[in-house]
Amino acid sequence: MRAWIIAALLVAPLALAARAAAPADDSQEGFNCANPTTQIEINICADKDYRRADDALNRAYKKAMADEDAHGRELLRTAERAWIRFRDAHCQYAASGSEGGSMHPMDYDNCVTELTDLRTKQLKEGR
Amino acid sequence: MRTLILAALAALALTTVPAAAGPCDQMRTQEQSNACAESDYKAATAEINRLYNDTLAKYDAKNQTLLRTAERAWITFRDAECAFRNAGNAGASTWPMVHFSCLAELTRKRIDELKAAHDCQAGDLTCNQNADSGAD
Repeated sequence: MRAWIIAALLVAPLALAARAAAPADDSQEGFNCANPTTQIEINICADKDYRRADDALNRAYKKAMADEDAHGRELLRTAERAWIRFRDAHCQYAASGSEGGSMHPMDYDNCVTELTDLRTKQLKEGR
Repeated sequence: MRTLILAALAALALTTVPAAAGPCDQMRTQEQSNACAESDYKAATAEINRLYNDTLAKYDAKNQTLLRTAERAWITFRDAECAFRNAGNAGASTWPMVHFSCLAELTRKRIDELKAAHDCQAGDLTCNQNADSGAD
């Protein structure tokens, strides 16, 4: 019995790690992000959507950097760091109305996702 | 003949007035385009300052700090972004025009963002497309 418990304890973190590393497949979570039913599910889906937006931004940023010379890369790097600080500060402000509530993670993530998507579009358009 | 020239000059002066009030791309010289872009930027700045101060006045100390922090971060971003976008024009006569056009464009986007954020911040759930779909 004891061996079973130890085995279960050893396997559980592996299963959790596998789950965390899995691609954005809602079935892994046991629910569908097209139709989340609880606030927790909605929050998880909002976070997933943010990670999708962040990946797209990183791709657009790398591509924009590749098009620049050393001087342009330095300016873009500075602008991008400033943009991240701005985005986070803006969303802390914009989502502060729900702070302490169960909707807050979703509010914050949705704000960050929206700004991130706009920034990706801007970077793709070029300067 | 002299009257004709004077009349022509007067007519010319009149036709330049609407151009001065219109978009900057109707300017004749680079100097005029630069000045036009600068004055457009100043108008956008006056508008955002009014909105920012009005919004700030509605908040308690905590939200004032959050908004102030966001606004300072935005100014740093705005300047860095426009420096990047204008990098190719260093030393060119078009530099001021591109600089002020960039500042004005980002300022107007920020005005829209501030208005939307104020609605969200005040707890207006319609500001967030997913906010009304959840339980709790």
